Amino acid sequence: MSLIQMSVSGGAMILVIALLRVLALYRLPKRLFAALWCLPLVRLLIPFSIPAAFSVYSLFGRETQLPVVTEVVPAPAFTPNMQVEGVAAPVSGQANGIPFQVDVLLTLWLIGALACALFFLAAYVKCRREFRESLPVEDGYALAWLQAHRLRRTVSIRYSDRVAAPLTYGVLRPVILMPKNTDWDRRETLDYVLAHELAHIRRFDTLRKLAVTLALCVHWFNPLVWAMFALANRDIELACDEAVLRRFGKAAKTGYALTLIRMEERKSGLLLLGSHFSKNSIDERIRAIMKMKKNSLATLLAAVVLIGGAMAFFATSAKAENNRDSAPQVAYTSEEDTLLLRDGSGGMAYYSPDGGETWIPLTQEEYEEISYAPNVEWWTAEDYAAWLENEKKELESKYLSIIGDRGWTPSTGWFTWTQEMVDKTIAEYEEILALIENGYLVSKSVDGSEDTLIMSGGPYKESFEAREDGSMGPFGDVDYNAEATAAEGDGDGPGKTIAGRMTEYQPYGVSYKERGSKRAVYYNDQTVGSFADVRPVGSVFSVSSTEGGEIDLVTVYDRDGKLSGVKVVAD
Amino acid sequence: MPVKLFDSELKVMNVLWKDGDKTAKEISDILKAEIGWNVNTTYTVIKKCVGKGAVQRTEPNFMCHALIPKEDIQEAETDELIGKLYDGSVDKLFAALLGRKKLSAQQIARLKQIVEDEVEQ
Repeated sequence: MSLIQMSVSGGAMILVIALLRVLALYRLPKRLFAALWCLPLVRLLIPFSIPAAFSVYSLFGRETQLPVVTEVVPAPAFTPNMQVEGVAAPVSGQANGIPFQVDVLLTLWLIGALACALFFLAAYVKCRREFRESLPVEDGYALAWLQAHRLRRTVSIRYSDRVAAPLTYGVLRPVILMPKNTDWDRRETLDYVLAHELAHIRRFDTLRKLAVTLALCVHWFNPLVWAMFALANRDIELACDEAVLRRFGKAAKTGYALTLIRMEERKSGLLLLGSHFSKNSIDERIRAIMKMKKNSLATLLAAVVLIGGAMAFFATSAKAENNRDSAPQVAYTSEEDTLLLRDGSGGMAYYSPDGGETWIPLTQEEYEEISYAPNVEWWTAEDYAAWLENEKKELESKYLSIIGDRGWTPSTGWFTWTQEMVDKTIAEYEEILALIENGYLVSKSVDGSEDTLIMSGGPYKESFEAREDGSMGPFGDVDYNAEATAAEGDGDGPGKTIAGRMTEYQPYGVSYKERGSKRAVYYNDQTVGSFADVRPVGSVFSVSSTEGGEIDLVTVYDRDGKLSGVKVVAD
Repeated sequence: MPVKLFDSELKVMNVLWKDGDKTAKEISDILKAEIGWNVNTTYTVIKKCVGKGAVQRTEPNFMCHALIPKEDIQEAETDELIGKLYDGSVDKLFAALLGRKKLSAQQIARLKQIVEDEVEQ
């Protein structure tokens, strides 16, 4: 469940409650609204799918490492039938070499969230410092009142010459803080004010406000959450007003309203976590007080139905989202027979290699590995040609400055740009343009990121076959070879066969044999299942032995981008 | 013109006015018992008083001495009260005081005496 998802669905709930408020605020018990606000709060603060919650990056629905799309089918001797590379994407961008993905969105969010948090924290700390210097109230009536309204927690009443209106703070040892100029003899006013503050204490409103503030810091980018901040705080006040009136009865309405108005006149300054209201909200409070009716059975029933309905609505929409996340997925493969089915109720995933005839159950890890279906945007020939022209201009103008600069790719680490590499890169891109024009699919972006390149289509599809032993591999047929040479051209000219290419690695102990439709790679007398030349600039060239092998091999490059050897891939 | 002191600072001053010079630690103990302040709070307030020039701090032991006498503060506050609420007129305040509660014969006699003493001067 990503942060954006949480924010959007929380926002939807906020809209619904705000709408309800506009329509029926004065007709429904205010406690109802205070309770309703808990629903979007929970949604905004607690990610429902718990595993996803532990990864910060999953908050943004992304993978942490630069993605390398792995093979889809879980057979050990499988050769990638699509070429995947972690390309040093648009050369100009990574010339100065940033070795890790600085996720711009994440940074922006962090800045916003910290700014909000800092603001509220600073205000709170300042207030609490002032409150510390408050003095105890010694008025007899006030003390008697305290005795008469005992709670599990110890409540105290204090006063300060620094606050303009009564407020309450503290969760474990709540304090009602009165302004210095309180007229302790005006007992009626005092009763109302103290009752109101006590209601705040009873309902743990300090914690509610804290939760709302927290939601605001996390979802600062969502204007609906700002709306919730304002409205929820108001509803908290209204609920306390309601509690007071329920205690004193309808007759107290006027007296209470007048008390509020009188106190409002004397107020000034900004109290963020105390009781805080603006012109609009005091109007709303007075109106709510005057319009308050005794809760008839009808309104109580309406309230229950509303809460029940709201909860059901939000719960099912949450469930629908979860189901959508875990909907049956088809594995991404150019082999169209592979099917994946996920059984929602049992949570089991099954894989079918033969288009639905037989089903093999998968463990959770296997399922997750192969159910990754990227969202790919493919290049059109015109677009790519235009992009290439642009790149050439950029590269050629930066010609002097990029040479000697350091670059970095995940496959080789750090390297230094040379004239050769620039030419090589341009040639690579020209090759890709040729491929696109021949009907190959080359990805423009995968899941919105340009760091992964996926190429597929053409002969790879047809050359796919399941072997008797159940593993999968490409056909070693003539077509494949011919196309492969065109695809693998790296500026040394088209027409180089695989055998020809493999001679490059002979000095390092790698040999290659072809027999009809079968091919095999050897390394110092061992058969090599999979050989991959992971170049610093450009594509991955790989060859696999048709009948598998004992080891897997990968090339090693030195800092100048020159091939220096091969090594066995450790498991 | 004496500085404006908040209630919290006046509390500290009261301790000094009543009991004479004290160390900060002693003041904080007294106030902890009296009004429930923790030690940090008291020290903060004492420092504010020092900053405002109402208290003098001497080492060792953070010894505190009231620089402004109580009468000065009383006068200043009364002036402010008269100015704010009684249109700057002393007799209005006086009348108000008389009108508030019934005064005992003793109190009236005492007041008369004070007035006469003033007039004589």
